[in-house]
Amino acid sequence: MTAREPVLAFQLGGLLWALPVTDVRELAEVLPLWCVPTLPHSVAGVAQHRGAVLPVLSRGAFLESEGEEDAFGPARQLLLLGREADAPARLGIPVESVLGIEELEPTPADGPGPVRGRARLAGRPVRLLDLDGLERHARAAIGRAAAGGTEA
Amino acid sequence: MNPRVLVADDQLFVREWIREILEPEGMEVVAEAVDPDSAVAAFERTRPDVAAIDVMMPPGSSVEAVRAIRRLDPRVRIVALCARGQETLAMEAVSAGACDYLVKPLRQADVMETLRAALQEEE
Repeated sequence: MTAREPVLAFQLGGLLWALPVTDVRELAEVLPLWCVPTLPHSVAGVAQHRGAVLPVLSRGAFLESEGEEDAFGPARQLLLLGREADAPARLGIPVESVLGIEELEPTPADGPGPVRGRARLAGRPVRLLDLDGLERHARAAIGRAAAGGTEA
Repeated sequence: MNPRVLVADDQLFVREWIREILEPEGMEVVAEAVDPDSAVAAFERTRPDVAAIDVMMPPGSSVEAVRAIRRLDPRVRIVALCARGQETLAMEAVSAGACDYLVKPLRQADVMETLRAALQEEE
């Protein structure tokens, strides 16, 4: 039996997701993205947050959905992820709404992509992510964009 | 027994959206894949009742994956997934052995109707 773990549940793309609370540093308003050469905002960008450079994965790159020209779509907030309290956040991801802290008992997911566990919350499926998986997911999205030679 | 489904698409949102549609309806997503080769491997490993396969999942050919899966099990029902403008490729998948196709963006009612029809054909 898997252990219950406290997570922050949020909604993006109409689907429910969750992150271990230990991976979440802060919830912030959407930040202006700086341009990175050869990397369109529809994939990722960087933002300045508390004096540090923060990599931000776009909504479209997170969902791997097509036709997203805007970095954030309907998302108005960013979850800033990191594990060390005295280090800058490692990654920002857009969220459409935050449901709050929940305790989930996920079953492991071994498929492709960043989902590492699955559970249910108020009768709806929730996909459990973690920071390491999201960083790999972001690197893969950026690598594909760079290989495609997309112009910023 | 719940119908078992393989979902092969290189987009996380599509895989999760299909799962969101199917699981409340009693269908079980038993495997996911993100490219044609891993779709064939996942089919061989899990032997689902129906496979939903994106026609455009580089690298590799999804049409060839449909052929390979049909060689492994001629009874399996395969539904091709395509974006608007890729209907010609979807028809190639049908010629290769898919029984139907769906055009993205996927609507819940269309997914359910198409997969249920595919399962009834299998029976």
